[in-house]
Amino acid sequence: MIKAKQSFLQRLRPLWVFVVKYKKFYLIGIVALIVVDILEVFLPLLLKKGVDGLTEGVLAPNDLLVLAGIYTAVAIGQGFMRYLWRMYIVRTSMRAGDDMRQNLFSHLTTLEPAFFRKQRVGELVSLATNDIQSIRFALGPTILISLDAIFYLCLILPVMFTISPKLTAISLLPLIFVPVFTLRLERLIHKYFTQVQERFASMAADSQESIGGVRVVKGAAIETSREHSFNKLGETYVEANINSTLSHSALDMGLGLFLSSAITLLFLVGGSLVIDETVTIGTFVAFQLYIQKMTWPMEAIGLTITYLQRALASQDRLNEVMEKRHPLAEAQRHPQENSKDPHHATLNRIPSIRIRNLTLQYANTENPSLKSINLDIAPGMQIGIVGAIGSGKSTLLNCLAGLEPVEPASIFVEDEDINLIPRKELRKLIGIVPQDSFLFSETLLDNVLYGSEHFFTKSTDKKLIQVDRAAQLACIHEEIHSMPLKHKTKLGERGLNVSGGQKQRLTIARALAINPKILIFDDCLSAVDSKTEAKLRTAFNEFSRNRTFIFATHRVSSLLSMDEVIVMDSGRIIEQGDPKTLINSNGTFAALVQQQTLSLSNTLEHDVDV
Amino acid sequence: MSEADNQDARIDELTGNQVNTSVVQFLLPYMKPFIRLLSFAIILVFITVGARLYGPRLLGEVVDRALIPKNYELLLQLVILFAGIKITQYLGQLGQSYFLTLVGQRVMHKLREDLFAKLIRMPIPFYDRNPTGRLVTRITNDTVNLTELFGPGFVLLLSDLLVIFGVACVMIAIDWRLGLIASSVVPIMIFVMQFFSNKLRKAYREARQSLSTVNAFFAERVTGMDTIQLMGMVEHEQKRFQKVSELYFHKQSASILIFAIFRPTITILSALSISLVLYFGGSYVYEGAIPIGVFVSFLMYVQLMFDPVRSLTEKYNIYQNAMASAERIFSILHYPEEDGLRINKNHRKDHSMDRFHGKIEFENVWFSYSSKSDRSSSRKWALENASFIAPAGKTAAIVGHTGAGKSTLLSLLFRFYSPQMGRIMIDGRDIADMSKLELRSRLGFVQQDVFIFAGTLRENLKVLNKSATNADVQHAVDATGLSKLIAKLPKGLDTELEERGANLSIGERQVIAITRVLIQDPDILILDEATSHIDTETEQNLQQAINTLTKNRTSLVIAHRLSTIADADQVLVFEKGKIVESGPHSDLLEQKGIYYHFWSIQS
Repeated sequence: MIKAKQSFLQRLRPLWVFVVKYKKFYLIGIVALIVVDILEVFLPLLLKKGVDGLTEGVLAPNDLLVLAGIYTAVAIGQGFMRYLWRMYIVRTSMRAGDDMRQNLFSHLTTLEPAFFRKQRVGELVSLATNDIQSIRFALGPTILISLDAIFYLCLILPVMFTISPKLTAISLLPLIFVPVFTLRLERLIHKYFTQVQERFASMAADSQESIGGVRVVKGAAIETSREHSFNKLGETYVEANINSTLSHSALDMGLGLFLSSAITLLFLVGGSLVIDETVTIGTFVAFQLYIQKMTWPMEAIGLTITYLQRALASQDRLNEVMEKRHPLAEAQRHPQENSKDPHHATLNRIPSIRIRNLTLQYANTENPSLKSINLDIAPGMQIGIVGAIGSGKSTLLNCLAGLEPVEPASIFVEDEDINLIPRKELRKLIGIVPQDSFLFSETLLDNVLYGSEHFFTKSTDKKLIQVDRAAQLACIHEEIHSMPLKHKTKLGERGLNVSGGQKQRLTIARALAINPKILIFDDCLSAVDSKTEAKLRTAFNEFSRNRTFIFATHRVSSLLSMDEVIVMDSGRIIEQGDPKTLINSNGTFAALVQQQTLSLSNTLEHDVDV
Repeated sequence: MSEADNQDARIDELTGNQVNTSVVQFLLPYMKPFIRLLSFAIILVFITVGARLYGPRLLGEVVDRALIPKNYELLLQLVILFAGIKITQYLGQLGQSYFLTLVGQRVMHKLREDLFAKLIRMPIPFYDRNPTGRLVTRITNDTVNLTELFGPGFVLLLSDLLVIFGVACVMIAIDWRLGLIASSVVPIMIFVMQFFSNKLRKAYREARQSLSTVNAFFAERVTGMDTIQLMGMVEHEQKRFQKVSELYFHKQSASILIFAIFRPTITILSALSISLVLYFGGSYVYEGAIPIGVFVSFLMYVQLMFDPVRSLTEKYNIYQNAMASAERIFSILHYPEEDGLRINKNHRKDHSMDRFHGKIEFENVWFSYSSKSDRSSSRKWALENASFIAPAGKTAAIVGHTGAGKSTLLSLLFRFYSPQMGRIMIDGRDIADMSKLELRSRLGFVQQDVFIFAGTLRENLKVLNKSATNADVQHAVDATGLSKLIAKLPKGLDTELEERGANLSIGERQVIAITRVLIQDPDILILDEATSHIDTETEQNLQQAINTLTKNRTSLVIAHRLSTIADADQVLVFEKGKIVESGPHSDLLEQKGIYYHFWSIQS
């Protein structure tokens, strides 16, 4: 589906880059490989010499000792060379895998939220592991086996021909079918392999659902019917597995049979030639050894093609992500380019914000997410935003925070285009608490100070002062101190799991720890219970003092004391003004206020532990 | 945290170093039905190994009896014999592989079925402690690891060992002196293999662990990418990922280093063995002690002897993995499941429970989540002396703060837990006397978190009642207003829904959940109303669907919406595990108690 027009060689380009980058390593490895192959062809000749010498009775035990000594010495030399190619080819491919992983991660850090909304995390992880692994395989083992096969064939054929052209021709006859056979079976193997993987995945998905949704299953007593559907999938998986194993066995058996028929021919023809005294017994024995080793290069051709195909399929998937660029990304200047710009770093006042005709439309969507937004936010203003899900509140806030790249000259912070402000500087100005609070599985200390300049401070005491200050404001201080390891408590699967409300308050503390001039709350109190919310509201007054405060929420009652409220719908601002005026004007805001004061939903929280 | 948690952590971190005989004992019943197939496969193993062992000997015969005496006729006979032996060998191999795969896959399938059946019947707290992903791994990857060993792996191991020791024996049988000299390398080889296998295993394990660190880090950072960008920590995270990723590279390198020493060592040993045959065997030929053909077959035998080494090292790893997986699987199969969830074949249907009228009665119910042994006075009651009657066909609204006991009430009604004291009755019968499966199938539950299964919308609607007809589905869809959504979908009811309903809004998912329960047609309805993330317009659409559902059905509603509460026949107000107020909405308002307080906050 992707890049079908590109030629095979063009698709190999991204791999070639790494070969060039590590050409020195590859060169050493390839030289070692050639030496191994030369010695490999040489070894049976030693045995031939031994057998022939003995039949003719010209080899004394002393000569045999020399011969055996040479044989061992050659094998040791080979061993060293094999050590070298493993370290210089296989290890280098691992190095390239490391490069690819880091490139992927760095690239992902440049992508905007819309990308991550569409992309499943599991798929990206699989890209970073499975796909990069199969590309790496092309850069290591595949290069190795293909070159090995080529060198070996190039060396062994002339040697065999020199010894006995007739014997060579006859005994190789069955082996020329090996590549065709391997390729054909590889296709079958690949087909069943894909089938196994697909069915494995659907089986995994099914059990994921049944166990993930076990409360539904139990609540409705549908255990047996879920079991049936799982077992049916399991049956098809078993079937595919059996086919896959059998196709592998068929390959092994086929290769064995080709080899055996070659050896049978060798027995027959070679034997006759020995009896005719055209060739020696030593030659006969050496050919036995050569033929046994001939299946490998033949097999290698099939393997190389399979591995390359897998690698290219993975490379295509990787390219799809690596080629993703936000159309407006260029508009944002790279942070480092003007990190020395003194203008913002020294800004002590609260900056004003001007939004001029801001429109934002995602690719492949019908309607713009934001449409011609115009808004002035004076320094120190307290502004509330309401609107239904999908009305554009979060998108607007993300634009303000510099997360979403915008068209040039649509947002100005203190008269400077937001795109031209390095992100690092913007961080010190604007603190945002997003709707979905996200914490890392690190200590509470690291989580609260994440993004603050104190994160990198060496002194723990200084850090603690900062954390305590922010935690107190976010009403999470007491809870942190009641935890077993206090600030050192680690979050995450094996560590402590905090409730939704605690998570939101920790996220608030994180934003406050930066001590920003502009504070943005994106509906971040949904999981905080009413008692704590009341406490937080008192704290609001404290931390919104000397700051611009932007608050998006569903709970209109929280907005009644704001300087200004804007109501959004389908990416537009449909109402704007101070709350009292808006209520009197009987518009959407007034309707919302009326609805919600009648509703209990603000005070009653639900349990989630059924 | 809790003891069970620690135990679980232990289960997960077992390395399988200890050979557990109980694992074998546990597996035997699974293998038993296949004893014939297995023995047949083992016979085939002996035949193929025998054929392989005969090859070099035959070459020697050819040299000594046909080539040197120049006997064409015998050469032809021996060649035909050779071809016959090879065909036997490969047919034997194919048959062996077929039978072993069959057994392995069947055993794995049975094991997986049992695991799955077990894992959907665990008590509720089990799921809170064990992340779904980890449990799924038990069903998928662990069973695969185990089959590697108890299917083909086990028998192929036998085959490899047979080759090594068979070659040694055959060589000694042909010429004991040369045989002993040539196989003198075997003990060294076994020592070397053991030595490097241990090192490799450790290195692989470290690399695997390091890889899971890479995965975990990567997944978490991708999930929180907007936070990283917002907080200006991109460079910091890049540096950290670099460290994590490079550590994995170094661990990988460590294993390749061991491999780069190990493999050549084995080849050198094999060359050493050949050199010994070359010198000593050659000398015997020179002295006339053995014919040249024996010398030639020894050269071939030594090559054959080193053939299985590679697969043996791989099998050692497989064995380790399989043991670790086996431990994990059996710890789950041994875990006590929630009782009463298996259909008893003797009396499939509990006839006393055809349909409920729907009168629900809680009689002095006490319940605590802490264990029974905990008799201290500080015991925290989740439900304290709760009594109420919900008459058949009426709606009762339940209100209260988080942790007041609302969810506990539902859990008890579903018999996810049993009360320590008191009785819960439906139509005057204690639910403890009812079959859990029957009871639950008569209760309809609409949860806040709607679970969408993979498949079409129709399949999702019928998930609670497989026997529903298309007419039933259509009727329900019309009644709840879901038809509006269906009209928007490309293939209507037969549209495939995305994973976890990603292509649906929260409101749409809620309507699906309600329609699903309507199709289930339960006798009693339990409804956990959604709150925070739903906007007002969606809420109004939902109300229509809910009204259809509660009509003429006993309904318990955990209420957040004013409309529900005002329309309810009675309201139960919970606080700290107790029912503190109950009665019709208007009466409660007049009492000016807690319920009244809830109201006054709003205005």
